[in-house]
This record gives sequence, structure tokens and C-alpha cells, in this order.
Amino acid sequence: MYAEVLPAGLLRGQVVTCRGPAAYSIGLGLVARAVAVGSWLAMVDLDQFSPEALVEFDIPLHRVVGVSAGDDLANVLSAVFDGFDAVMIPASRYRGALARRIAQRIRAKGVALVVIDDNSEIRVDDTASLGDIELAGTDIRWEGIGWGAGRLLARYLTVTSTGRRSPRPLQSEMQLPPENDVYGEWSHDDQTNGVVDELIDRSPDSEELRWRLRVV
Amino acid sequence: MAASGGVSSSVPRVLTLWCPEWPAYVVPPVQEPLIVLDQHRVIAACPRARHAGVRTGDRRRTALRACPNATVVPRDYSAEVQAFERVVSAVAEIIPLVELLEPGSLCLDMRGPTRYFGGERFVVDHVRSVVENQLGAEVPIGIGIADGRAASAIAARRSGAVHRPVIVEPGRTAAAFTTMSLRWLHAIGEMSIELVELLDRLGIRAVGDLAALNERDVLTRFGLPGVRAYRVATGADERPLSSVAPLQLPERERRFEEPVLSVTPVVFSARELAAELVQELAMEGLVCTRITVAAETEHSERTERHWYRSEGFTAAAMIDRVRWQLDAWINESSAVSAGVIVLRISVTAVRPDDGVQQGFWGGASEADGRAARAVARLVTLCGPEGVRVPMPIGGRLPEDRYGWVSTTVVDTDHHVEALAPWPGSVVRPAPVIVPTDEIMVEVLNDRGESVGVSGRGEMTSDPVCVVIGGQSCRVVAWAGPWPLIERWWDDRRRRRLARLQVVLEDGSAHLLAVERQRWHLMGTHS
Repeated sequence: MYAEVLPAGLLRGQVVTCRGPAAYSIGLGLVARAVAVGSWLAMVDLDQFSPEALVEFDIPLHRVVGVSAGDDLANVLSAVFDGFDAVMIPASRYRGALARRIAQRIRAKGVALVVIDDNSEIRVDDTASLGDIELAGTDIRWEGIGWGAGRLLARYLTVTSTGRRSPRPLQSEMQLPPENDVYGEWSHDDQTNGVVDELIDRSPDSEELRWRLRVV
Repeated sequence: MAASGGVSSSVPRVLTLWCPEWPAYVVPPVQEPLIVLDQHRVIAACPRARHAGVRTGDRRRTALRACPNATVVPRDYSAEVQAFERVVSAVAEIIPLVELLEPGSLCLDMRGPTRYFGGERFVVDHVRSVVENQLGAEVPIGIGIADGRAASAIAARRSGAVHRPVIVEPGRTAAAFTTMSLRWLHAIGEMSIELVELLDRLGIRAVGDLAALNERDVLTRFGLPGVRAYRVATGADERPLSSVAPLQLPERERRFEEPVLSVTPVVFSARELAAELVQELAMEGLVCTRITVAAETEHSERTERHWYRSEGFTAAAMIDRVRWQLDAWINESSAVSAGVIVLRISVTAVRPDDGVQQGFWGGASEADGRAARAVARLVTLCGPEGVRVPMPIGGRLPEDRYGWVSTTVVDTDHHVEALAPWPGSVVRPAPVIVPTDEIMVEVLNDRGESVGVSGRGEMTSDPVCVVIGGQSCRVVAWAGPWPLIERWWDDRRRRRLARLQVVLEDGSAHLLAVERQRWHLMGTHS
């Protein structure tokens, strides 16, 4: 899954741009583990987003907050960065001048920013908004649906990561939304927080930890 | 305890004033019928829209179906408070100690006024004439007097419906409300909707049904929230005096070195005060139900208002009251001529935290605490409607199943994440994007003609092309149609539609629906 395209995991202070017709799902899959183990997710100006998708990605609803920023986006974002580890924002709201202005804050606050660009709104030369890593979903195949028969069951796609600092693109085949229990036995109650903190001390390289937001 | 209760001297007589369609009356007048939405649900409408069949709680789409030419506006809390400020000051001139419940609603302790004006009827007349002076006679108002706040709030709502003041004689609460639906107890904030629905399923629908039960049985079956509702239903004091009275009620004050000229920084510091107050009370196992917010400017201009909330104040709720009050005060042109130098929040009434009131933002971990503080700050920046949390609601269509609810109204921390099965809904995976407005699409066959669904639930021909937002796309796979008939018994909320899943050539998948021969986009798997 994501380990193949993001070997270091989702890092704090990083901007990840998700592209293609499956941009939302790629972004959700990316933050799912972090939220499940205790991080909070803010969804800024994603008004049409349906919370049901969160459930399918095993993201606990009680750690997700939707924010409608209005006109004062820069101020709202800096308040969001104070309180949330993971932030999702549509590309239409994260561009050009604003992106340059808040880039420093993202690193200082240690936020992982996921930019959803499902209409290819960010141009390739707009380096500020392009982010550190770009995840693009291609080769989308839906299983279970035919010509007038069946129903949508599962989506398989190839996710490619390209980035400023990665020498060559990495690719991975994945299923999004994931099949149930793909993350193992992660329960949603807050008790797990404590357990995870203990894990950190004992085995810093465990797979779980890779998906906790890392401090760089 | 006697079910219908004798006269209990401990229950104060309370007058509640309630303006039924308040959010609709503060909007500048428009030609068309008017609908006010809050959290995507109708909360108020003008008489013409009501006549057309718009009901409180409707979704935007349902409301517009009933009244297609209506103007829809979002709720504007600060305008509501500001417009209501006139009423509050006018009433406060004849009767001091006005408690504000929410914009458009206030309550008064009747003990003094009754004696002063020579009877409850005279108080009602006075209040009514004062309010009508301010608002004009065409704005409907409801005035109710009864034992205790809850009963008088119900009386005021009934009064709004029957267009004359409702006075419930002392000790007659239970008898007066016997046939009223328990939903009224939810409307005035004394009962959670879950409890109302649970009782409804058990056949307890009216206030009288609940009052007829035995208090001990209610306690064992429904716990403290049930007893609270039971006490309101029987007309007993909804909040019996606590035997553990705190020695001193806390108060927090912030003095500003430099006079502050805009509302936001004052509200921002109120956040801190509110969090401290709530925290301090929580240590004692208490929640406060009544606060006094006072602010003063350099030129000694003062504003002081009492706010009451039966569910108890969370920090977010306190901050809201502070912001409403300051907005109304500062925008009232004559009142303020200098910057604010003092802000004070005092707790004036508390009750034991009976477990109904639990912080939604329970600070389980450091991340939770940080998020809770950020949420409080965001509420001051984006308004209560700008900060929302996802909640399961339930339904068969993607738009009904989950919703976003303002954080300021979410007070319970039950983490219900899964829905009941809801047969007839399209199963997993669910669409990620569910448009808030209706997006029309065209579904065409190989001859370029529009495709329909027959009465037997079959496609009239194979769809080969879908036009969304002017962009035409070839269909590579499709499934359906799945017909759905919902609420056929309800004239206004009934829906009859058929759903279709399509996968387009770029790999995107959509859920489309045909309703009244027209296709629209129901969701996109992104």
C-alpha cells in the first residue's frame, strides 16, 4: 500500500498533493492511520465531502472537523494548524500566493497538509502549491460492475508518487477504499492512544509507527 | 412523588417570551417567500412559505419543492441578537433581571413583577405592549407563564401557535400539557432527540404519558436524563436544589491594558475565561446553567446580560453568548464610544453534572486538548456554522446518511459511527462527493437520445454517454437501475427515483438518479 510510494510515511511539515479522479480516496487513505491512532483531521472547505467515506476508510468520525473558512482563509488556516495534525484542503483554495505564505507555518507547526486536486487545477510550474510529494492515481479499474449488471464493489488503481527530493517515481497497486480490516485490529476507542505511545518506546520501527505522523 | 403534583412553593413562576419565526424577521424584507436555513435544515420561514407547506426541519431541497420561488438565506446569529437587543432593553426597562435564552427568546422571574403590576395578566399585558411597540404588531410572539423555566418555555411555544398568551395556573403544569407531544421537550432543550425517539417507540408520545409513569421506574429505565424530562412533564422543579452548594460561584475577569476596538480579540480572550470556568466547575462535578456576561468601555459604558441554558454551558456555548452580546452591543450605534477595557463572565447558577452534559471535546490526550482549543478559536473566526463535525443520521440516499453538524450544538460524546442497515440504500463503497446543490446531468443512448427508466424499473435503452457540467463522457460500465420509493404516505417528503451507477472512460464513477424524468448527480466516487 502506501509504504511503497511513501517509504518514510506521512511526515509532519509535508505537503502532499493528490491528483486524478481518485484524489479524495488517495488522500483519505493517506491520513486514515494517523487519525485512527489519535491525530485530528481538519477538512477545510470540502463542503461536498460525504462523511460516509470516512467510515469506509476506518477514520473515526469524532476526530474529524469540517471548517468552512470563508474569505479569511490565511487566518483560519493558521488557527487550524495550531490544533490539527492533518489538514485536507481542495486545490482551488491552496494556490499561488497563499501557498507561499503558509508554507513556513506548515513546517513550523508540523502539520501534514493534503491537497486534493481532482481537476488538475495546480499547474506544474506553480512550485509553491505543488507540494513536496505528488500522489497521482491512474489506471483505475472498478470491479463488480459490468454492462448493465452487478454493482461497484472495489476500485483498484496504481498510485504514483513523484517529488522534489525523490530520485525516481515510486508506484504501488492498491485498493481504495481498502477492504475491511486491512489495517489489522485497530479499534477506534481512545484507549488505544496510550497503547500506541508505549509502542513508540519499544519498537520504533514497527509498521504502525510509520503511519503515525512523524516529526521531521 | 405525586404524579400531577400539588402546588410546590419551591418552583418559581417564570414568564417566557418567544418569537416563533425570529430568524426570518431579522432578514431584510424580500419580494419572494423567505426560508431561513441552519445546518441545511429549515429553522424559520415567513408566513407565505409556511402556507406553501414549508416545515421546520425540512432540507433545502424538500423546502424548495414545496415553495419553489422562495429566497433561501442562511441563519445570521449576530443580526438576530442585534435585532432582539431592542426588545431586551425595552423589557428590562419595566422588569429588571431579564434572562436571555437564545436570540428571540427570553425569560423573567415573575415573583417581583406580579406583585408590582398586580397580577400575572397585567404583567403579560405590559410585556406584550412593550414588545409590540418595538417590533410592530405583525411579528408573532408567544408569551407563556408557568411553574419553572421548562414549563413556561412550553407555554410560550403553545402561545405562539394559538396567538394568545398562555398562563398555566400554579401546580397545573401536568394537566395543561397532557396531550402535547414530547418533541416539545426536545424543542426547549430538556430532552435529547434520542430519548424522545426511544420513548416514541415505546408508545410514550405525549407529555401526559410520561407523567403517568412512576418516577422510580423512569429512573431505572432511562437514568437521569429520563428523570429530568419526567420532572418537567409532571411540573415538578426541573432542577431540585442541590444539597452540595458550592461556597462561592466562580467569576473570571479580563482587563485589557489597551482598549480593544473590535469584537474578535475580546471574544478570543473570552475563550480562555470560558475554558477556565468550565474546567473549574467540572473539577467539582458541576455545570453552570446561568451566566452573566458584562463588558465595559473606557468611557464606562456597560453591557450586562444574563444567559440561561438548561443543558448547561460548554465553553463553546459561553463564547457564543459573549460574541452575540458584544456584536449586538457594538453595532448599536449610540451605545459604544470607546474601546472595551473589561470583560467579565460570572457564573450565577450551577447544577450537578448529571452525566447528560459531557464535554464532547473530552480531553483524552494532548492532541484532543489541542484540537478542542483550535475548534473554539475557529468558532470565533468562522462562526458556529463554519465549524462542523460529521455525524451519522440515517437514510437510503447518500445525502441523507451522514451530515455535518455545527460543533456548538454537539454536546454529547456518544460515538455512534455506524448506521443501521437501511435496506434499499446503495451499499459500500459510498460516493465521496455528494453535491449540496442539484447538478443536472444528461444520460444518452447510442443515438444521442435521452435514456429513461420505465415504470417497471428497466432502462429504456443502454446508456452510452453521460453529460456532466457540459462535458460529455463515454460510459464504460453501468449498473442499475435501482428504484426507490420513500415516504409514499407523506405528500411533501415522498420521493420516487431510480439510481444508476456509471463508470466513465477516465475511471471516475458516479451515482446518478432519475427523478421526475430528470437525471441528476447524486454522488461521485473520487
